[in-house]
Formats: sequence, structure tokens, C-alpha cells
Amino acid sequence: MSDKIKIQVEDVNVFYGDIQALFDVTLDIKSKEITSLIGPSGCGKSTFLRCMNRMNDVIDGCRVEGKITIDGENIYDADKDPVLLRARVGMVFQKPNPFPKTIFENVAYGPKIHGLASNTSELREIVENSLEQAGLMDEVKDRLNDSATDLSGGQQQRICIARAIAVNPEIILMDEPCSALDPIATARVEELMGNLSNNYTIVIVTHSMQQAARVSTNTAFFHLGHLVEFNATKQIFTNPSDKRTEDYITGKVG
Amino acid sequence: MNEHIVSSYDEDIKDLQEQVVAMGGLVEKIWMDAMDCVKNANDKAALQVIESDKKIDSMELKIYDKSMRLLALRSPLASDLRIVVSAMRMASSLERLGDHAKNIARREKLISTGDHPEIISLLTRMYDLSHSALQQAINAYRNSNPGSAEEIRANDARVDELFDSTVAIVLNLMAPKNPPLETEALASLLFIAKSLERMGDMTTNIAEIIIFQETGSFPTDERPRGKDHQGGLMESLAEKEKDI
Ligand SMILES: Nc1ncnc2c1ncn2[C@@H]1O[C@H](COP(=O)(O)OP(=O)(O)O)[C@@H](O)[C@H]1O
Ligand SMILES: [Mg+2]
Repeated sequence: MSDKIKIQVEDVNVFYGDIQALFDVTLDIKSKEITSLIGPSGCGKSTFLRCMNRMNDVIDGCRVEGKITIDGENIYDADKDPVLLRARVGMVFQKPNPFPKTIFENVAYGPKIHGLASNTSELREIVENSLEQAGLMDEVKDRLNDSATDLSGGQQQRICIARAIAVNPEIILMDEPCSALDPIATARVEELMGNLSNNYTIVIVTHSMQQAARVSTNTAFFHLGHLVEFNATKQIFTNPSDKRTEDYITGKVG
Repeated sequence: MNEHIVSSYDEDIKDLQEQVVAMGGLVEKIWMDAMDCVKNANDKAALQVIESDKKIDSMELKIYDKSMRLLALRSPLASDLRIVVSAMRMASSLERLGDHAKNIARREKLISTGDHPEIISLLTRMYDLSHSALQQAINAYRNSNPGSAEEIRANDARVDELFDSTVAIVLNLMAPKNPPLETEALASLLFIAKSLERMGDMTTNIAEIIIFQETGSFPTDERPRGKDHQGGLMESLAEKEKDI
């Protein structure tokens, strides 16, 4: 754990056409820690997550204002290449979405297009190392050439995590990564996130209060596009300071 | 306070807090009866105390049970979590208060052998202050009133002062038979013995918590107790005094 700030978000406003989805969001995300984003559906968590790897750029009519820096560099500067940014900032989605290809090819795809391996043995090493880090190597080592879509949901999600790791990112964004998984597969992914946070900065969107409480050091609560409260997770879940946070996490009607 | 979306959750929380309030009410009553024993050597009150104490013990277990169920089924957070944790702690403090009232009532007979109105009056003042503080605390709990609870904290010093005065007077009364320093030493030994006896009781509490943790239920049979426990020891001391 370090106190170094990895991502600095300043006065970010996001619009879909005329509709504003995020209002003046400002927060600092610490390096090599897990930060969770919670809040009711439609409050802007996914929109906020997509700001950090410029995935909103590809959405028609979406406009992002404000400043987001990673290690002090503004990722929205004109000379920044969003494709390179997305290698530094990987993303894992709610529904495991492996390519309909072999396990090996799923993980090898990123390193290949980013030219991270100069020969097949280097590529193999990257793939195996990524699967190892994703805690999947033991389960799939004898079937790297089987189709990734034949794996269980939990294994598919860890393939997606291995795929994100393979391009050597600094940050991993996860949008409800466990909502399609059973409790055992969820526990595996949570355990994995804990291990990954030694090397990566992780931001996770989750609807499970218990998951946020289990995995993250800091938690941000969003409501109607506003960042209402951002604090140590243990503070948020035992003694939140804003009534809207309290009502949301205790399941009360506001 | 807003309501939970799942309305049975509100009922569970409300029910838990009502159980704590009811237990608090019974502890108020057991203390009234215990003090009645001290002041008036009231045998009927002594029987009431024994009965209330049993009821208090079972209320404590019911509160633990309810809290466990809430923790397991509702995963309470924030103020809900604090309510459940506080209910368990309240229950264990109230149970101990009940024990102390019972210990007082046990001494009914031997107190009546002495005649010390000035001490009884000091004890009564201590009781009045502490008992109204207890009532105020249960009300503060029922009405979620931290301000009133702060007041109670501030007022406890007065009871401590009365305790010191009582001890000083008792020592004085004992003094004619012994040199003053010797009296103080003997009294200290008595206090130490009392603390050690509490140590035994609380260690037994801990043992029962471990049994609960490992088996899922508290032992329900009576705790084994020494022959002539409490009253007995004091009674034999009292006997000696009479002999002298
Ligand atoms: N592609 C989109 N086009 C238009 N509006 C969108 C789009 N994505 C999200 N929104 C709107 O932005 C708001 C925030 O949505 P989102 O970030 O998906 O919330 P969350 O992830 O917290 O459920 C919602 O009102 C949603 O309807
Ligand atoms: Mg979303």
C-alpha cells in the first residue's frame, strides 16, 4: 500500500447529447489499491469508469469535460493516443466476454497487436504469466488450445482478467465483474483482485455492498451523477457522513 | 429516520430495540427491589429479585439470538450495523447489572443484623442517582438521544464521590476495633476479594462465550457455585462480629 495518487480526476462533467450524466466529479485514486464505486443504477458509475480509459470517446454524442490525469499526464490531451491509453488502463466487464477463440489466443491477442512479444516463445511466456497471475494456470494448462467459451463463467471472467493483464497495464477497471458469477467464482475473483492490487491500481463498480466492503480500501458513492461521498471503505460502511449514502447502503427509501 | 425498502427489516430492527428496552425496564425493576431489600429487609422483594434475574438472563440470550439472525440474514451496515452491535453490548451490560442487583439482595439478611442508618442513607443517595441515570439511559436509548447520554456520562462523578464517603464512614466505624491503617488494609483486602470474585464470574462468562462460539448455544444448566457463596461468607463474618 502506498499513498501515491495514480489517477487524479478534477471537475469532470459528462454529457450524452443534451443530458448530463456526471456533475463536477473530483477525486483522487490511490496507486496499487482497490477503489470501489457504488450507487443506484443509472447514477453514472459506468460512465465514470469509462472516462478513465476514454471508452466514452467511442460513444456517439458523449462529451467529457474536465481533467483526468494518470501519473500527472492529462489523458485527454490532444496528443494522447486512446489505443495506447487502453493498454495502460485495462477493462473487465460485467458479462465475461472472451473471444470465440482458444484460451491461448484470447490472452495472446493484446500482446500481439501491441507488439509486446518479438517471437512465439516470448508470447507464450506472456500468456502463461498472465494466466498464472489470473490464478487460472493450474486449471487450464492442459487445454490452452480449447475454446475459451467452453469454460465456466467464473473461469471466463478470469480469462478476461488475464487478457487485461497480458498487455501489461497499470490500471484495471472492472464494471460489476462478479454479478454473473456464483459465490465460489466470486470469491476466486475477489481473492485474485486482492493479489493483483499488489501490482495494479484497481477500480471496481459493484452493486454488492459486501463485495465493496470485502475488497476495497476506499469507496466512492455516486447519486444522480454526483459524487456524494468518498472515504475509507470502513468509514463508509460503519459511519457514512452523508444521509444519502446511509440510506443507500442500509437499503432505505430516501 | 427513513424506512427500509424491505419493511420486515424495519420490524426486525424495531423488535430488537424493543427487546433491549424491555430488558432495561426489568433491570430498573430488579434494582428497585434490591434496594428495597437493603432499606426495608423486604423478603418479598428478595424473591422478586431472584425471579427477575432469571428472566434477565433469558432476555440476554434472546437478544443475542435475534442479533445473530439479523447479522446472518440482513447483513446490516452503517447505522443498522451499529444498532445490532450496540444491542449485543447493551444486553451484556444489562445482564451484569442484574447480577449485581442479585448480589445485593443476597445480603439482605445480614445487613438487617446491623443498624447503620447513616450508611443506608448514603447508599440510598448513590442508588437514587444511579437508578435515575439508568432510567435516563434507557430513555436515551429508546429515543436515540445522544445528548441525554452525554449528560449521564458527566454525572457519574457524583456517585464516585458518594462511594468514597461511604467507604470512609464504614472504615471509621470499623476503626475502634483496629488501628486505622489496619482497618484500611482489611477493607482493601475485602475489595480485592470482591474483584477476584468478579474475575471468576467474568472468566466464566468468557468460557460460556467460547462454548457458544464452538457449539452454537450457551450452556443452559446452572453454573456450579461454591458452598456458602457470597451471603455465606459474609454471614460467617457477621456471626463472628456478633460473638465479639
Ligand atoms: N450510451 C449512452 N447514451 C445515452 N445515455 C447514456 C448512455 N450510457 C449511459 N447513459 C445515461 O447516463 C446515466 C448514467 O448511466 P451509467 O453510467 O450507465 O450508470 P450506472 O453505471 O451507475 O448504472 C444514465 O442516466 C444513463 O441512462
Ligand atoms: Mg453500470
